[in-house]
Amino acid sequence: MVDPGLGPFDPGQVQIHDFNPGDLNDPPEDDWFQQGGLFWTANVPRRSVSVRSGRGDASFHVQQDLFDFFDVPNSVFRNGPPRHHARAEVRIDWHGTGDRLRIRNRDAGFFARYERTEANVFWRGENLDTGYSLATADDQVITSAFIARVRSGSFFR
Amino acid sequence: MVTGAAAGAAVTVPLWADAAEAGIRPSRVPKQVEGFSPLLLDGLGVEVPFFLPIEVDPFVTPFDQPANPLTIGDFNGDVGVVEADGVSTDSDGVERRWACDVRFMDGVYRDRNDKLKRAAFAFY
Repeated sequence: MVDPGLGPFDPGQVQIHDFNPGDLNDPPEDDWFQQGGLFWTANVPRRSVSVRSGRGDASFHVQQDLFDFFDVPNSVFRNGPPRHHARAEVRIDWHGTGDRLRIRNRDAGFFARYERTEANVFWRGENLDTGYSLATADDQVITSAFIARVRSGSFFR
Repeated sequence: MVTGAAAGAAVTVPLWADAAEAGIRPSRVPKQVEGFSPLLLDGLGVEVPFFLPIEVDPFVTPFDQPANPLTIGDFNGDVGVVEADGVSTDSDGVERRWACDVRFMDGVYRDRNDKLKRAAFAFY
């Protein structure tokens, strides 16, 4: 999140909080993509996800322990202040618009059946070390929203 | 914006416990997705195994082919992607601009030992 006085959203604005789970990895390797971790990715319970493909509807509701890395460069390079413990409450609902696409990307090694959606996002992040928190507002701009059934790697061949 | 009818139970996911305590054994961790975002390479100077929404959304991408929307490799299942931004008042009473890219991945995958597993993951 950034100071809105700086104008429309631009990743180049001065960022003051960055909530993500780190990069899921095999212990004892660091949870960092440069050591093989999965970028900003965490395990979640399967019951937190509900999908009604064919209608384009889905939901993802979860409370997730995360970290606050303060900004993207610190999260990517791990060369800034130590991360803080954080927590997020996430409730996202996708609703299909009826637009569908099927794409086979041989170069990237995947096939996907896409369903374009609208979406509503509730996201509340809290830095547990400082007590700072922020929640998304209903007045939000959705710049990308879709669900897809994907086969990649060995499932694509 | 539409509030979807599909419902999911809110559950808490611990992250900070030792990975072994959390039941995340090495054989369950998926492989990294193949490739990296050329846009992030331009912006950060590093190959990040991940693609931005503008690169993966086939309905809006300016590129010839959408990139892989997953953050894990060797996967067969469902993915949901949303990117949003807005302005909210934070706990200090200050208006802040926020932005998020959240994805779920629910399905089967081959782990780093090529064993077939079923699980769900999220990208924040």
